[in-house]
Amino acid sequence: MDIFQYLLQGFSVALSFQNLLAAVVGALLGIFVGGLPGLGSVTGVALLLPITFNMDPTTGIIMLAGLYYGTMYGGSYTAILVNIPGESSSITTALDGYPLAKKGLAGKALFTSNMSSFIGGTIGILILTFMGPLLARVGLAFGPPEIAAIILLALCSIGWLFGENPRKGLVSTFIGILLATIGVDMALGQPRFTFGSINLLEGISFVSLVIGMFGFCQIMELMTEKQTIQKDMKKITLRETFLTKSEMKRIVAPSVRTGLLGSFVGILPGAGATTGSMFSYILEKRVGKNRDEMGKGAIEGVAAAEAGNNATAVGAFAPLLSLGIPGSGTTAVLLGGLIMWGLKPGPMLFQQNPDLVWGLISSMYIGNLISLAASFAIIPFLVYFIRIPNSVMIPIIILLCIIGAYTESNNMFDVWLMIAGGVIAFILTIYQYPIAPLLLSFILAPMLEFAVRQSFDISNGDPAIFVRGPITITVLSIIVLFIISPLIIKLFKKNKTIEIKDDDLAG
Amino acid sequence: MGGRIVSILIAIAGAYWAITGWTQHGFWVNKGPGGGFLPVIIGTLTLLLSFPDILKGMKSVVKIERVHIYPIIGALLVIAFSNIFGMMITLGLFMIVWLIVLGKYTIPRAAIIGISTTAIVYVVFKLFLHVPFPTGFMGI
Repeated sequence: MDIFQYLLQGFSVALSFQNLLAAVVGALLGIFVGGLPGLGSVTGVALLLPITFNMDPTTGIIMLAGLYYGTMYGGSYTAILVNIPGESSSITTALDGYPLAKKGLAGKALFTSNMSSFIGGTIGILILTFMGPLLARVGLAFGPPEIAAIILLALCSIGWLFGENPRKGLVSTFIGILLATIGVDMALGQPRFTFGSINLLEGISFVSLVIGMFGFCQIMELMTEKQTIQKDMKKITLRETFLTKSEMKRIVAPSVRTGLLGSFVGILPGAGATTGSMFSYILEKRVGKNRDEMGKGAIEGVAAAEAGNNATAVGAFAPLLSLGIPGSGTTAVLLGGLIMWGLKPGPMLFQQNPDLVWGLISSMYIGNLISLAASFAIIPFLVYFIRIPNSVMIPIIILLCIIGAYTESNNMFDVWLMIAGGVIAFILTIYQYPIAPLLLSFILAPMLEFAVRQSFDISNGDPAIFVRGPITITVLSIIVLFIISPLIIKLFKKNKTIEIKDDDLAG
Repeated sequence: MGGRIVSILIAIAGAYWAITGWTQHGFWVNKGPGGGFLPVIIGTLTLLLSFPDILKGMKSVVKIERVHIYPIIGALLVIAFSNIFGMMITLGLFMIVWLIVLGKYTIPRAAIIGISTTAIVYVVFKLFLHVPFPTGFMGI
């Protein structure tokens, strides 16, 4: 049978009443869970997993998958409306989504988010359908040195790309890395920088940090903002949230390229949707037509982040299904579910359980459409949220911040961390240190440390391992170019100015 | 002056991470990076990059006012009273008091908004998601 026949067979499975219902329920729950600060896709899937045990495995995995990519849709809502990313993968969405909302364009930001989520998700599903097993094997070519090189490239990029001052961007990146080293060193079992606190042995909770640095910091800033209700938001209708033809054109290209990139990031071991959305945002910030506006409220920024994180979420299924290797934290929980159902993810899964694999893949097409429809339907209600005056909005956001931080591990210490994160972010922000690099490097640093250690373990301490493979050489060359290119450009500009001055004097 | 203090604090943090990383966790252990590998490199770079701001100083883009501290005080009070009254009741009271004192709402309006918001949170997080919030002496 060829892929199309498998796909048709899959659709016949996915379109059965119970599987369709499972996809709908999963997607809707995902949108809801994704929108709640503190509860991410991992928690959502983990909470739903026990309920699905009594179901048929295909129905169960369809529901869980629906919930997974549903969270990618929902995570952007609070990021856009109140600057609290519901999902860690929505940090980059908040960078442009919230400024758009402040300009009175929350509806357009939400529309862009939904539309680009759909485009990115669809690209991811198409790639999973036609190239999934092949890509999963490509992913295996990325060993620890390659992963370390790629993360290093990302770390070099984020510091330069965010904010007005690259040096402050780098300092922010470094603070994030330093904070990430707090907790027990997993390789050596040694506590680091815990200051004797038992609560810090597990490290700083990322969710608390995000909620504090985005949400709580935002409240402190809002305290002095007088004008809040956007007058033109008062009568907003669904029609007004639609993007114009030219705006649609502006988001298609970023969505497609970041959808492709996100699918690729998804297959890399350990890289989740957060990494995918971050790489996508970086790519758009480097190559996008409207890159100078990104970070100030550009729909391209929202499109890149959302298409990237949805494509990554789908891409992560490729190594899970074809190799039995989870590509992200959430797919690791899903792997546990598959094993508990008595299934063995890996190359044989496609042959032994075609109904499950192709039913799941086909259900993604349907689930993606359902998520899109549901997301559009709730835009008018969401936009209503932004009409709430600051005097009510501020205590509501404080309440959400406290609940979100507490819910992460049901521990009041995380609320303390959230407040501390908010205060630190506020101080850094007023001195123009960008916060996004800090949070993004906080996610990447443990992955970098782990990959570097693994590389040295493999090479018995020989650093030459980083310049042996073609992938690492290419990525490291890009890093070198990346670092020296601003200096070369500066030098080039200086020479040009001198030449012009000489010409003027001669003239 | 404030900017210089922030830069100095960043520099101190960088130096602390670098020194502790080198002396306590080890830079290179058993032919591989030790626990101090990343802290030493990144701590040193942080220290170096904070010097220009220590020398030049920085200006803040926002003037810090007393109102900026209100959310911190509010959140700290919620933490303090959650173990006494329970988190749900404390959050409800926090909403009502905030709306009356800072929002200048009337008591009935503040009570309606505060109770309804807390009720939504209670249904979603406590009844639906079974989050074990501190319950306090009333057991709610």
